[in-house]
Amino acid sequence: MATHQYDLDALARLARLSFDKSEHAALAQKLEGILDLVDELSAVPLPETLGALASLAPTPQGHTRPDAVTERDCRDEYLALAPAADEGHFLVPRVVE
Amino acid sequence: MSDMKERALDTLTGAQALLEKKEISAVELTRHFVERIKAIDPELNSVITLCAEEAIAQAEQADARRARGEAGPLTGIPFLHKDLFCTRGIRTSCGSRMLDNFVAPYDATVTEKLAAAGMVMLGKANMDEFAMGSSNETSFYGACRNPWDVTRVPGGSSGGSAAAVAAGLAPVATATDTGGSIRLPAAFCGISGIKPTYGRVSRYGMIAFASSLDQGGPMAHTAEDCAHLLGAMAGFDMRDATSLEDPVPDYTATLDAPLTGLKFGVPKDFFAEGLDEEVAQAIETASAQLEALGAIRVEVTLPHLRASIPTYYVIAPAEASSNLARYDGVRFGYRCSDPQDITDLITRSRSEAFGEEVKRRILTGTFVLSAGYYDAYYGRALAVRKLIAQDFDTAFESVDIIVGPTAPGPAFALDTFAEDPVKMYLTDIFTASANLAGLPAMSIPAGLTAGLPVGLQLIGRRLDEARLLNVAHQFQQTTDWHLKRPELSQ
Repeated sequence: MATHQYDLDALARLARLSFDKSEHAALAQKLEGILDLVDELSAVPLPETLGALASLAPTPQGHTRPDAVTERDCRDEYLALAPAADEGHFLVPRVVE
Repeated sequence: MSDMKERALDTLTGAQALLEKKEISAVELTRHFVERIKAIDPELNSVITLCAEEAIAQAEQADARRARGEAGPLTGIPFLHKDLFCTRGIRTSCGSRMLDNFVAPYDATVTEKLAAAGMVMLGKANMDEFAMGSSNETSFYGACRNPWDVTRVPGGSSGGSAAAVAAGLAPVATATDTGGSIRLPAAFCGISGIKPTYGRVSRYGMIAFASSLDQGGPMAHTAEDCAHLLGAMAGFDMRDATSLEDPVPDYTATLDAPLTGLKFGVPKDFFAEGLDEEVAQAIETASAQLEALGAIRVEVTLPHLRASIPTYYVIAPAEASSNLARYDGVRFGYRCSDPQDITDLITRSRSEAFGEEVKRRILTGTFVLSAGYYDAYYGRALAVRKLIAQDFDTAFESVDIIVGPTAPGPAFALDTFAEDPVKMYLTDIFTASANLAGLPAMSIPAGLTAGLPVGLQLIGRRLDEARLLNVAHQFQQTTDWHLKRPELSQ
């Protein structure tokens, strides 16, 4: 039985995914199992000395590179990968009527 | 070809010696492996794209380079490349329908480095879709099978790389490890593999799953071969903001150092419920072998080990849901037919092209990052991740390396966890913590149970890959588990 509060349709919409209604029950059951697993985190005591969220970055500060254009013009190569392109643009269905 | 010569070819160092003595050419070597792939791989499905013609052309260049006296130690050595390293002009599928038509317009840094060393790419190896899996069953190109028993999985996500090396289809292969994806398949297939310190190998051109955890590394039969390949893969890269600037040592230079006085810890937390008894016994036997080599066993604990799986399964899906947002059917990759509008195009392209496991992880990541849940899940997972890293810091105050099992049991049968993803996730219980802490970790063969390989895991301090390879090499000088081969490879 579901114990977590979420709307599967809304979650799928946020993730830009869609599911057939016939898949919902099995998917919800598996998601419940995963969320039960990650709920185990709530049982781990956190010492107060651990610090604020911002200090928990997993890796040290990375390096940066000079703010200069280094890439050659690859427009045509990238457009060649597109499912649909024309006159230097990626083509998508009309978004403005 | 004589049996002895053929046997020498299945390791990098064996092939290297024959190339240097001019007993074989790179072209002959490449043809040998291409023929083996054609003959044996139909039983395994370890290769997604075989690049026979390109490989022969690269081998001809390697032979020419050798003839000019310009060959390096890896010139002419064939390898298989996990199919998430971008290769200019050759499909990089990441094991997904989404990228089935994707031919990268550039090379990954690792691809460039191995090409510069004169290595010969035989093809692209099978893997779990977007590296999400522990069994190599989620690949769009079908499950890869374990050469020790083709009814079982090779482990994942680098299952193709591991199965191919174990079956003698390539002397070495590249792989990546986000929560155990080098070590688990290395253990299941009876070979060696090392996940380096986070940042040691460039992630540029390595298709992202979870960016704070992903790390590339080598797979081979022996630690010595891993040392050679890691040396070629590692190094600072300006194009990866998390790349480490520390110089890369010669990993082969310290392989022969004696282990006298080395302190190793075997955390009792590894021997909790769920660990196969014969695997536990193999780890005890291996520990005794390290003691016989002069190392000293010290008791240590990793109190948050069990929390590593829930921590990993918040952080990795959170990062994956963000990384995989780029697949929208607009700029590259799969596009659905006849989209009604832009939302339909993006949603249907993603829904039709991603597999079940990838979709589950995207949904999980979307949930843990959503308003109202961020602190309870993602924030808390970051905090526990820090506790896990602190456990290692504490342990490494009294030991040089940590030793334990790589996996709770040997390779399992195909479809075992098809209906229960959480049980599959638990196979990463001993491996995910090293990724969360960013530490180097290795798996080497250390036994057989019911005819299936058992992996011994070695975890080291940050940037201490050389020591792990040294310990593994010394272990392999006095044991023969790394010399065992599955019948299918004969």
